[in-house]
Amino acid sequence: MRILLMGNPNVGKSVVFNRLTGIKVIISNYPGTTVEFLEGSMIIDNKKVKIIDAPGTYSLIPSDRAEEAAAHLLMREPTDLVINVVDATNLERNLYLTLQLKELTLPMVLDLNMIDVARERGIEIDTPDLEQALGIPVIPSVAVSGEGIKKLRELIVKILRGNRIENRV
Amino acid sequence: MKIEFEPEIERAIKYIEEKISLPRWQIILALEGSKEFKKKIPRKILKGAVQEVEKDHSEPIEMIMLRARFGQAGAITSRVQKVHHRHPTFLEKLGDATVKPLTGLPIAAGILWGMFKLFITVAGFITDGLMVPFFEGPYDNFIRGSVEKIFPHGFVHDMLIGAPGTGYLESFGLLTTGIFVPIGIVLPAVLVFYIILTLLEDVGYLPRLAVLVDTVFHRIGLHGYSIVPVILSFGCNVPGVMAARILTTDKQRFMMLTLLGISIPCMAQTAVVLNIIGPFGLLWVGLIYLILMGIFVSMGSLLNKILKGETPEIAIEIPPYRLPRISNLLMKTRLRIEQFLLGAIPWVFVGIFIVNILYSLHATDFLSKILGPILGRWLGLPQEAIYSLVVGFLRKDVATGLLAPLLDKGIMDLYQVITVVAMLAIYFPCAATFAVFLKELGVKDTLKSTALMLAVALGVGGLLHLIFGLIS
Repeated sequence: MRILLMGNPNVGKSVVFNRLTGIKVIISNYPGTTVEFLEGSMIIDNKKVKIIDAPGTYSLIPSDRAEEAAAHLLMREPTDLVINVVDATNLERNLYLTLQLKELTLPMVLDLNMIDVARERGIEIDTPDLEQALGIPVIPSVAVSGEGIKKLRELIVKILRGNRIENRV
Repeated sequence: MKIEFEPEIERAIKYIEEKISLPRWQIILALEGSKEFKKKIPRKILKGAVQEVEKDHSEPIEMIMLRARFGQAGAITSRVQKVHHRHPTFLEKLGDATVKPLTGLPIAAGILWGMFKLFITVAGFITDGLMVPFFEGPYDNFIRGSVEKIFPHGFVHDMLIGAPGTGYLESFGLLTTGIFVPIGIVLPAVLVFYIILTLLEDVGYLPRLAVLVDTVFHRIGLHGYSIVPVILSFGCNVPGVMAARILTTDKQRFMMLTLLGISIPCMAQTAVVLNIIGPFGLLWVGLIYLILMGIFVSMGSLLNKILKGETPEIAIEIPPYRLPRISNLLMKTRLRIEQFLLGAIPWVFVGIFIVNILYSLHATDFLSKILGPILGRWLGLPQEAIYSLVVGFLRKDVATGLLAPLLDKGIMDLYQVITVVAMLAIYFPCAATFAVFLKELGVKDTLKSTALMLAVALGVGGLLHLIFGLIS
């Protein structure tokens, strides 16, 4: 099983990765901190699930080496779940990648991160409506404080379990 | 929910779908410009599919797809998002002030100066106030006592704690200099540097600095964002080289890596330089940095003119200022210190081991026969400087440390030491950085880059010898 964290640069993928795996990684407030992918794991039903933190990318058409690495991670190996981490304060720009990712018809979850900053700035996002528009589950989160991570983890478990049953049938 | 494109694009997708079997997402990515998936569609079919769409919009298909995608993203966003008006916060106003040249440049100068003062004061205090008393007191008693009980004299004795009657920096024993240099001198500097760097990173200052220096960097064919690899390289060249991946063309990456290798000394070297040359006055240390920065700019513009390839603009994102989190600061500093200790100490040991072997083999006699003319006539250096230049291929801190006894004993004067220090920074990256060079550039470009470094080092060394000869 393989989960891939994808998203624009500097949206908090590495923080989510750290929260899900407990692995300590370098996290900074500038785009391009992660230029190579990081690999960790979480245990679901006594089974190890690989989690990969991809370098940030704006598009699946790469324009530099880090973005190339991200696109490769997505297309070279089978992926069971894509967690698309999105900056809630820049929804429109972030959704560009989300829409590209959606074409791949992989199981996908949208992590609407930095929702606290968005609220502070007077940005209000209708989560159920966004779920409906995209057709995938959306979880608002504040990864640095851990808000929403429990829900994200529960959702991951639910999706991966469902996936396994499908595979058996 | 399936997200549809406008009818003309859908028709183009269908046209391709009917001719070859390829998943829809791959066709779409091909239309969006993916080289990889374009190859999967015969050129004639692709042309036939996009012809009509391009004619209708009178722009290339990649652009049409880009607009279409942003159209979709925009439609969803305006459906689900409401934005309430509100006044800019203090952090946002501060954010603007730090990128506008009029206010930004003085702020940048102030920040960098303050950080430098803080660094010198705190790191200096830890080394001189805590580390030196510890190493010369309790540590020395214990180590010297234990080693001398088992090996009263001879090769093993010298290998472990150095020749009798020498100080901590000069002894070149594995347990004396081998521990004192990385822990006593370099670690405090690295620690303080990384805490300061982390603060700048987490607040979000680096991308703003990138905006301020953009014009200067563009003159030498790089992009303002290159300031990030440069600043990281002042800590250690390895992460600096990795961070250069954000540059988009091979030309820029080759230039960036070569410039990092040539003119950015890492914190390990800086720490030892401060320790040896600092006592003569910080201006002398400043002079070394000034020389290196001069080379950075002149080599940059030269390479930019000579090398073929593009130096495109990159749009970069400026994140909002954020208050740093203590937990992240601690985690990151710990990670970086661990990386330093694991990466540095083994190489320091190898370096010191080699120095001892060279000493016991009297290698200077042999090496100076080969290198003598260059060393003496061209660079004006005594043959003892060979050790330093040999070890510099492995580690800069050990190599620089080797100069301390030469300066103390009057074998070399300050000018000569400055020449060697500058050359050590220029002529080759350390072993660890060289490995990353190979990974990032491949063998051929790494060799090219290394040849450049050696040439520049010899040129600069000779020039410094000439200039210092005139003024002294």
